[in-house]
Amino acid sequence: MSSIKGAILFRIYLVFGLLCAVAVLILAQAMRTAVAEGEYWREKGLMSTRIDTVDGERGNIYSADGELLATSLPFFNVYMDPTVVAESVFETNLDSLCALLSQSFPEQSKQEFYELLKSGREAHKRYLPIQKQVNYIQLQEMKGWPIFRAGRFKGGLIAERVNKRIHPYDFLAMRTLGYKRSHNKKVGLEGSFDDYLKGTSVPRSMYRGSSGDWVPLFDDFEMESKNGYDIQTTVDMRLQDITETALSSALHQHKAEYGTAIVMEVETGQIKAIANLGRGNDGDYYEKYNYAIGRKTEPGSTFKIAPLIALLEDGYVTDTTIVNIEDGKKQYHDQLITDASWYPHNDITVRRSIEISSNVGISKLVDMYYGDQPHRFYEHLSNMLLTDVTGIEIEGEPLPTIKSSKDKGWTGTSLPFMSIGHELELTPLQLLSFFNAIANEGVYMKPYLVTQVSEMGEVIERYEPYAVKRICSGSTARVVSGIMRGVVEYKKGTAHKIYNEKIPMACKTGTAKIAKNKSGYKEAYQASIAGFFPADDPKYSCIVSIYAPREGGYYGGSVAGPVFKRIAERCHATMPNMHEPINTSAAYADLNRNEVDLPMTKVGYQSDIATIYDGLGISNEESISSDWVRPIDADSTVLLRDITFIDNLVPNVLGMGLRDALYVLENSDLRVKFTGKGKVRDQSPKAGTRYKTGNIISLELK
Amino acid sequence: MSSKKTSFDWLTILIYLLLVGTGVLAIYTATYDESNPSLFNLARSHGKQVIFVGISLLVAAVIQLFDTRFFTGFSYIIYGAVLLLLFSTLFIGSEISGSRSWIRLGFFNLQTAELGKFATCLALAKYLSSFKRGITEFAQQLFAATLIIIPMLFILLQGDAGSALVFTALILVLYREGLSGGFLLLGAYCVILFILSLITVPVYGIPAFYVLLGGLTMVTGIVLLYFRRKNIRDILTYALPLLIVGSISYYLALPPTTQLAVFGGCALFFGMLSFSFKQLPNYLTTFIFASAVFVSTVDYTYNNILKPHQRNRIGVLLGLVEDRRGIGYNLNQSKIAIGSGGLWGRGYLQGTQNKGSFVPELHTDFIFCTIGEEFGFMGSFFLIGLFALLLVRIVMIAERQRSRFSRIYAYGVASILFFHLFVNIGMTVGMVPVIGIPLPFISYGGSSLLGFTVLLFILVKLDSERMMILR
Repeated sequence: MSSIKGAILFRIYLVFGLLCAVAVLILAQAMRTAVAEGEYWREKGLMSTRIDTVDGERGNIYSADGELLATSLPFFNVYMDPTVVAESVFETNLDSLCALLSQSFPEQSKQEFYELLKSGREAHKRYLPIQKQVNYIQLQEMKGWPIFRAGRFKGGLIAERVNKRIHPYDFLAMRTLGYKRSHNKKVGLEGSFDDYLKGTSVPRSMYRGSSGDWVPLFDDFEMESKNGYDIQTTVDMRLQDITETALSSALHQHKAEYGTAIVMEVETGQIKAIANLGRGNDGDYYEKYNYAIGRKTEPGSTFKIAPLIALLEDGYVTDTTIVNIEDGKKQYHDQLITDASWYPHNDITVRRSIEISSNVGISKLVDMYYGDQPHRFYEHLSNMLLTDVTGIEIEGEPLPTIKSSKDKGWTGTSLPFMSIGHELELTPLQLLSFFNAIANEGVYMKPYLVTQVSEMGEVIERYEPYAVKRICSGSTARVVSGIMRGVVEYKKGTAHKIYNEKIPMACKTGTAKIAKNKSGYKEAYQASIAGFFPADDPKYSCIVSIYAPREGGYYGGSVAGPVFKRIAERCHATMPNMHEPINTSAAYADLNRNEVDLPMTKVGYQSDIATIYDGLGISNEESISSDWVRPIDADSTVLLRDITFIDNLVPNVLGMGLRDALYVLENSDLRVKFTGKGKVRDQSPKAGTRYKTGNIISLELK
Repeated sequence: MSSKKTSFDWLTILIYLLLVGTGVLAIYTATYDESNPSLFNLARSHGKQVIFVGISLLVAAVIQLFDTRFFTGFSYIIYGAVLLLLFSTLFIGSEISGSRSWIRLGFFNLQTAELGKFATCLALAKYLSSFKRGITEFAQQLFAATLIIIPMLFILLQGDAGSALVFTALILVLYREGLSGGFLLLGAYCVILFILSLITVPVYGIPAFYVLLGGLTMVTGIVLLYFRRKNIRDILTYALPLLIVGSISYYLALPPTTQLAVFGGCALFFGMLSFSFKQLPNYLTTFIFASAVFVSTVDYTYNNILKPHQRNRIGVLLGLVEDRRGIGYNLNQSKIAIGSGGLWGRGYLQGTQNKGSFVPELHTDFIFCTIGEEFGFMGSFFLIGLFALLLVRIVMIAERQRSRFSRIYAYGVASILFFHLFVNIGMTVGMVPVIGIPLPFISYGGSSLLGFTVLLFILVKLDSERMMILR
């Protein structure tokens, strides 16, 4: 009995022992893995696994007229793993491969490539950088080269896809469109609308196998990254082009430090053009900084319109009230205010004092009426929204610097100096929005840059014009408009230089000495002009500000004025909605040739168009690198501007005749549907949309 | 019936709750999605597991309401019903990743093999409890084995070799009830022979058969020389092959460590065997012959009978196959995850390997990796400790039963849990080939959680009435 009991006990103990032994064994192995070998496995994990994020394709940015301003294209960073190539293949083909490599990528010579690959192979390097940003076509070509043609695992060719941002219009409005700076910080619209543009990114587990390159762990994804939305801006490429060209030529002429110009649609507050050009080290000008939105300066005389409105609204003056300008000199405590130029009369109307921009006149009136109630003056400025930001979509807009009488820096001379645009700072956009309100009968429109966000043509979000508030009565606005018109039309007005009898313009010039530091003003000026046109029925408001011009004068009227004039004229000439057709007016018969709009052909084939213009005896300038061109009226000559098509993106056929449009689109393997006749007025999908062979594009002709 | 009150083993229940809770947390981190962190999301694995836990607790409670006689009386009927279910799964089951083991029940897929475990334990308990002195006769052993082998066969046919293998663990029960220890040794011996004959093949390029046969002959010779020095004929019989093998291995210039490992292992085994078998020469001759036959079939089995993925799993473990993206990849990633955890782990929800889902089947079969990475060795230690405590507790419970039925059933529970733990955790740390069976109570899966809950809580019920009845 006891032996049986013993035998059973033995069995029980054995089972117990087995359990414990196995537990200990597993623990020991876990301990070995986690503690003793932990460092090794951790290292191995770092070397063979990582989690990438896959970004959706970034959305496009379009202009108001449907031009593609920014899009993303795939490029490939090419690497090579020379260790996977068979010895015999490597030896016999290395020479010809290197020849092809240096032929395509001449930054490195054949010998350098040879050294790179040879030594890389000997050192068992598995990830030799060959070339960055190779395009798709080049990559396909490379796949057929010796060694590489053996495929990824025997040829060692590794291609990693990266998306590159492309701007078909190069620098045009670049700073406002934005781009990626270092540290992934995006500026401009690219930054402000990043959430929309970037799409969703998803984590993707990457694994480095024995071939040495990183491959996605899973072939299919539960969660796909989503492409970004497209945004449509308010920017009109034609106006942008005009604005940027006009500003650029003025900057070159005056060798200024920088300049900015903004064109806004009066009724809506949409920014139609925004140019920011700063002088580069090479003396040329580039979109470097968004001066229009991000930098506030003392506006100078352009600001006088604000106190004028205050005086008018309070009923202290009318446009015909007389003010004595005291020979253009007036002492306020220890400070002297002088007029920029001498005027033959002392008793002048308020209207005239603005037209000739008399510092004494305005400062005197303001001092007279608000000297004992400075808070009221501040309230007026605040009511005109001059003390606040505009709320434009782009980051970095500073708050205006406008003192109130309670502020520390307030002195006895603050009020007169502020009335002529000193001791305060505004950004060009803030000032323009104010002028735009005057043009808009006193209603302040919030300036904006983006009209809609859409996904594959479907609108996700639409931004409508927004009237913030009325800043003055309609009648005051009309009076001020009239006075501003006088600035141009009165023969001694500060902007009379830009007078054009066909385009009534209303504006105010400003010439401010630049405050370099607290100790005083240095001999540099900011020439500016702000206003709107056509003055009788304002369509656009515009501000031009040129900072530190070095040659050819410095007055707002003579430096910034011509830019304003140029923009107004070109707008007027190219925008049929801005004027009556010429041939219906009585003056038609007397017009000389240079004032006639040149006949524009359809967008089309370059040599055809050139032949037609040559035949008509109209001079035309080719700037040709492409077969397809868009004719552009440049006063006395027709510019033929290139249209380039990008592979895999829908070509822009706007303005083409049907025959050309069909030719271009069908050559891109698109199927075309169309309605109407004449020129292509609208196309869907828009230019720059990614497409696949056989997709349908519909055209609307008119 | 009796005034004696029932008493539940609260320790077992506590351990169960701890394990199940750990399971939900582990599944949550294994499938963690930062953008969707809600704990009670029924679209995600951890959310479903919470539901399964709820159902399991309900089932566990319901089991306590049954009369224990239900389990003893109906054990064959339950067994028969489950067999029928297993069998019908072969036809009505739906195929998921290569095996036809699931029956679709609308909201959830039932893996019938999980029910086979407790049913077989019940039947085995019923059968074995009818013998007071244990199973000593061959016919009894054969019948008991048949009870185990039938469900095993069905599950094997379903294509779930891993779950089928689990049933081999029930040999421990038979051992406890009187089966000769020789069978255990024999099994272990076969495994070792299998491994040895495999690892010697590709590594040194000579047929395993000769090496092992030679080795066996040599060792047997040594043993015989040691015990029976007086018999000159025996010495000669074995000395000759010994010489031949010696010269072959010399000719092939085998590394001395290999020779030592192969021969030393065999020597140890024979030493143990010689105590078990009294009639040494006769048995040994048969034994060597059988071994030789077994070894000669190993290559064939490995190359022709095993499926490629099974071959790979074994091959990778033994270092025969370099398959980094396949099974070797699994093992590597599993070790990377556990190794990365170090002593204290990366912290809950902080495991990079977990997040990237680099370990395949992370929330099911490889769930242990999440513990390893995020709680480190200490986490592993506590989890394994918890399991060990549960097993020891079950064996203790088994031994305190007055009813043979309860005791045998308890052993069945312990054996099955033991096999699961050993194989599942063993495979994540690279001790055992990858066999796709879940970690009890932890791995994601309704069937497995429900199956183990029923398995354990029938025991809790039986144990709770141990004072009342003597069956």
